[in-house]
Formats: sequence, structure tokens, C-alpha cells
Amino acid sequence: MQNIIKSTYRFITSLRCAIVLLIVLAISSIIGTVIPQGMPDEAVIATYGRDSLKAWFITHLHLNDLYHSPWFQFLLTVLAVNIILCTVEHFPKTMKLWTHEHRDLSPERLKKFSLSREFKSDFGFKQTVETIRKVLGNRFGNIKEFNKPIDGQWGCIAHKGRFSLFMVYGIHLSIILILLGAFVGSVLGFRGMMTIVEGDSDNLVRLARKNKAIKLPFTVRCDDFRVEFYENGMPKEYISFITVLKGKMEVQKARIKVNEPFTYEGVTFYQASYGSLINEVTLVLTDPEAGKSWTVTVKPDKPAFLESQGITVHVLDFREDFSGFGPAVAVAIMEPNKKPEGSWILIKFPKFHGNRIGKYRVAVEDYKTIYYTGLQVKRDPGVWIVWIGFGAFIVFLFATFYWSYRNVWVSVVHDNDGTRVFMAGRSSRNSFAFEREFDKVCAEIMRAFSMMEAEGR
Amino acid sequence: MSSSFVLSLVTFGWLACSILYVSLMVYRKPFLGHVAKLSAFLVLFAHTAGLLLRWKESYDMGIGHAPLSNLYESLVFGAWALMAVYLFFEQKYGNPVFGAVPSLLAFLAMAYASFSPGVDSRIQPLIPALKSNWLIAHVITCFLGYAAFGVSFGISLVYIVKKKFPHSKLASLFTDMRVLEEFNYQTIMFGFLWLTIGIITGSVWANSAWGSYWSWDPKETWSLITWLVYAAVLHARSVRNWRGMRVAVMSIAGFGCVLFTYFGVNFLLSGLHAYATK
Ligand code: HEM
Repeated sequence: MQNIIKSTYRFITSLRCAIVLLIVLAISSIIGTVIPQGMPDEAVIATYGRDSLKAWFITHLHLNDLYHSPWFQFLLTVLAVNIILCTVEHFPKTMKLWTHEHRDLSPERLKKFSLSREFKSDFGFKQTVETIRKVLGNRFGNIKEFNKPIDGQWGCIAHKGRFSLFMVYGIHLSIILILLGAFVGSVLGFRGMMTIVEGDSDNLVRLARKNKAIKLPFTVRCDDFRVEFYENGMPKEYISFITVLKGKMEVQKARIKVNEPFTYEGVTFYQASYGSLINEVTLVLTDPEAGKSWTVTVKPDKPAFLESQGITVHVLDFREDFSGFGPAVAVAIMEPNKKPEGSWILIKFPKFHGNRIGKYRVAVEDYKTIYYTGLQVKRDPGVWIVWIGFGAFIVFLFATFYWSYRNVWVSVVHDNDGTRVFMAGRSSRNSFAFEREFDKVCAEIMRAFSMMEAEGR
Repeated sequence: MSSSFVLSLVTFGWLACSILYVSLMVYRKPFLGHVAKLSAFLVLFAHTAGLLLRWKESYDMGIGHAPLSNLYESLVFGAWALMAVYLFFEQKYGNPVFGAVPSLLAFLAMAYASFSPGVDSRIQPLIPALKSNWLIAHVITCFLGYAAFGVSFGISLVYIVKKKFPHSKLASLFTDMRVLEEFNYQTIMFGFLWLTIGIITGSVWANSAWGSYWSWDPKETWSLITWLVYAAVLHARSVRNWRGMRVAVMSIAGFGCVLFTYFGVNFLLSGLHAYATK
């Protein structure tokens, strides 16, 4: 038992687990793009059949709402835990790199580096040391010296960018921040829709993915909704003009466009959809046999009573485009002691033979529609954490990729063979760029020597 | 001169460049390298001019917007980004022998954009959802990332050829394996950085347009998958010390994800980004 716990812990803290998680998350995400998301369980069963294996898998593993399913959220949690534990495990190693110095500056060791140089100096020991000190000091700032130059053996370490060792932690911390922000948003915030007819007001938000509504502490009235089109018929702008009300008091007016949301008391409104409802329709009813016509004006909540015929005319519904035939209204006619009859009446085709209810031919003489606006409504107190995470991620990614810990070791030896310089270098990444930098440092030292020569010393 | 005329010339320009780069591989004469490089810079210049001209033309039509809004424009910009990133790295590493794959891809993208009947090349006004400055930031950064992955794809192919046929004439052309491997790594890092910024700017944009910074739309999800694959490459390389062959294979798989994110999602899956199919 203890062993299982131990090996599980070791796996969760390992980088192998991280790579496995990244791959598992990638594969699960692929599944989510192939299986339609947001289909209710009943619809899945209706599509694939109650007894099909596919429907069983989809409904039991929540593949129809995969990204919000418990197991997917669990994977994300494990990812966060893994990142944190991996950091904790890894940190001492980085600290060791941070404090560790290769103090062994013997030429034998320096020669073993993959990046190393050796050259002779025609100048005295002291002059040579002085020159190297100056060049490295200029390039690297601080240098740390070992041995006094008098002993005929001098060495130093110069380094740059030691902080870069920690940048990778910044990347992972940013991921934690982003996940945390998403979590805070999903627990403390909400997301839903409001549809408001022009002139109406509302304070209820229907929540997405839940059969629930939230009551806002204020009311939103839609004063006007407009759609603008380009000359070629493409939509140009959807605009809702709204007023925020507290009780009866108008507290703020606003204009909401796509890409220009409006925020009030932490609740943000986005232009999401729109549509139109029938407001008033004028119908001409003809009785071909009697050769007579009647004109009535009907509103959805105000049926018209045609006294001479003893019937009531209702308008029930409206479609902007009825199966490609343009706008249509659903009209019903009721007569006492008879079954109500009704039909869709095509507005643009008054002669259409289907425009008929009972014995009457029905044509639309005029109609007025009214828009409703669909606003997406959101409160997300976690979004700032996500933004900070995003920003930090980019900064630390740059720092990780293009900043590195660079070390140069130098040893100057003076013995019977004269003065010799041994140099070695190592960088935590971008070894090519560092090779060039190392070459430059060597070249600079050489140049300093030749300048001394030119000065005739 | 209209932008569409300039851009169709550019299409043939990239064809010419890919022929030059391929003949450099076949005949292995250094002067061909110089000619190829010079022509690539010239065509890139013309390509840039074509894009700017199209931008100006849209303002002349009174519907001014950056030429980054539909499939045609994104293909044209994608080809531009691919060659711009490639030439940036070619300058840095001073070796023109990798140019065949990117210039061929650029030519194919341009040819598809210009000649496929399914791609509408007219300048169209912006629908409301696309009216945002984040659009420009999002498209440019994503394409820089995709372009770098395209270059890495080319290098990986070369790497595999050289590894499998170390004594072939073709292989003798390329610099040593270490340079190839480092070149590949640098382009992957560059691509990962820009794809990250691309996903983030897209997410900020989605938050202002749709009220949600992440909605698991298929295109979003596929860009996340691509990103995860390259994150796995970087981890495998830096922590498990994977090098050379394995990185090359993973980079090719990653570029497959890029292509699917770009084409597959538009044609096979539907979602918020489906406007890009017209
Ligand atoms: C599952 C959790 C993760 C763990 C345990 C983890 C762990 C690590 C470790 C140990 C390193 C190497 C540090 C070093 O070189 O000293 C690293 C590097 C890195 N990680 Fe992660 N990581 C995780 C997830 C991620 C994710 C999701 C991303 C972003 C997509 C990411 C991006 C990076 C990058 C960019 C590097 C630098 C790679 C390089 O040196 O080239 N990591 N990670």
C-alpha cells in the first residue's frame, strides 16, 4: 500500500506525467471537436438509438459536454497539481545550479569543456591578467577571482544571466494563474442570455448550460435596436440602445455593438443575436364563394373579432424566412363550436394557393415587425487573474527562450613555457549564439594584447 | 496596377524561387544560392507591396480594413509570413539550402488562393464580429507562429533525409547535423512564442466580441492542441534530452496539426470561425 502511494506520488511529481497529461488533454480535446458539443442526452439517444454503444459512451462519459465534464476538469486539476509538485521537486536542483560554482580552474579541467580555448600570451603574467580582467569585467560585470595574481596561477569565473534559471518557473506559475482565474470565474461568476424586445425591460438572465435564471440588481430596457447593411447586403453593424434602470430611475444609457460591450456594476453585456417579432398585421380575408372581402388588423396579444362572420382572427407567430419563401405569419381562425383552423401565410406571395384557412383566402396587406435584441450577459471576477496570467506567460516565455545563464572560466598559468591562457565557456541554452559570444570575448582579449603590442610595451 | 495583378505575379515569383532553390539542391552550385536568395527578397518585396496595395484599395472602396479578413487574404498573408520568417532565419544562419520547402509551400498557398474557384478574392467589407484591432494582432501573431512551424517542417524533412541517406549527394549539401538541429530548435521556439501570443490575443478578442475568452470552439481547441504538441516537443527536448530525429518527427506531426487547424477545421468542423470558409 505504502509502495503504491509512493510510486503514485513519484509519478504525479514527474515530468513524464506532465508529458502524458499534455498528450491526454490533446487527445480528449480532439474528441470534443469531433463529437457535437452541447447536445442534450435525450437528443444523443434519439440520434444514435437507445441501445447503441455510441450513445452509451457519449452519455456516460459526458462526451457531449466534454470540456465541462468532471473527468476533463479532473485532468486540468491534475495538471495544476502536477505543475506545482514538479516545481517543488525541481526547485532545489535549480537552487543548486544557482549557487554552484565550478571552482576547479585547473587547465586540465577547462580543456575538457566542449567550448574551450587555449592561447599563449607574449606579455608578462601580470599584464595578461590585467587585460583579461578588464575585458571580462566590461562584458560580464562582476568577475570572481581565485588565487592572487602573484602566485603564477590566476583564475576567475565570470557569469551573466543567472536569474534566467528561474524564468521557467514563471511560465508554469502563469499557467496556474490562468487555471485559477478560470476557476474563480466559473465559481463566482455567471454567463447567460437576455432577450429584450424593443421598448421592453427585463432583469432576468437565463444561464447558459443550466436551467436557471439570475436576477440582476437593476433592470435593462432596450430602447431601440438597429441593423445596418453594406451596399452589397452584408451586415455592417448590430446596435442595441439600452437604458439601465434602478427602480423607476434611469441611471445610465448605453450603446452596445459587437466588439463594443458595455459593463455596469461588474456585469458585462455583449451584442450576441437579434430577431424580429410581428407587432401588427393587416389581413385581407376573402370568401371566394360570396365574393366578399374583409380587412382586419391583428396584434399578437389582440385578436380581431369579425362580427359579420362570427369569427376571431389570431396571429400566432412570425418567421423572417419561411423555408426560403420570405416572411410569413401564422394565422388562426376560430369559430364558436368549431375546431380552430390555421396556416402559415406567405407575405410576399399573396396569390399562393396555400394562403388559405377554411373557406377564406388570406393575404397580408401590411405588417409591422419589432426587433428584439439578444444580449450575452456575463460576470467574471476571475478575468483579471487570467489577463495577468496571459501577460506573465508571454514575458516569461521570452525570458526563458532568449535569456540564458552564461559562464566563462579563465585560468592564466605562468611557468617555464611562458604565460598561457585557458578559457572555457558554457551556456544554459542557445549554445550557438553563445559560441559566437565566446569567440568575440576571445577575439577581444587578443585585440587587447595586440594593442598593447602596438603601444610598444 | 491592381493588387490582384501584383499578387498573381507574386504567385509565379514564388514558383520561380522554388525552382531556383530546387536547382540549387540538384546542381549544388553556390551562385544558384545567391540568385535564389536575391529573387526571394525581390518577390517578398513585391508581395509586401501587393498586400499594402490591397489595404489601400479597400480604403478607396470606403470599407478600409487590413487585408486579413477572409480565406483569400489569410492565405496570401500566410504565404508572406512563411517566406518572411524563412528569410529571417536564412539570414541568421547564412544557408540558403532549406529554401525549397517554404517557397514551394508559399507558391501552393498563393496558387490555391488565386486560382481555386472556392476562394473568393474580392475585397469585402468587415462583418461586425471582425471589426476589432485585436483581429490584426491575432492574425499576424498566429501566422508568424504557423510560418515558423512551416520552416521547422522543412528543416525536419531535410534532417530526416540526411539522417537516412547520409552519403547521398543531396545530403552533402546541407550543413552539419548540429547546425540543422539547432536551426530547427530555434524555429520551434520562435513559433511557440508567436503561437502563444496568437492564442492569447485571440482569446482577448473573443472576450470582447463574444463575452468569453475561451469557448472551446473547434478552431480554438485545435490551436490549443497544436500548442500542446509543441509544448510536449519543448519538454521532451529540454528535460528528456530528445534531439535530432525525434524532434524532427514531432515537428512534422506538429505541422500536421497546424494544417488541420487552418484547413481541416474550416472544411470539416463548424464553429464560430466558419466565416473563413468563403
Ligand atoms: C504538467 C505540468 C508541467 C510540468 C510538470 C512542467 C515541467 C517543466 C520542467 C521541469 C521544465 C524544465 C525546466 C528546466 O529546464 O529547468 C519545463 C520547461 C518548460 N515548460 Fe513545462 N511543465 C508543465 C506544463 C507546461 C505547459 C502546459 C507548458 C506550456 C504549454 C509548459 C511550457 C514550458 C516551457 C516553454 C518550458 C521551457 C522549455 C525549454 O527549456 O525549451 N510547461 N517544464
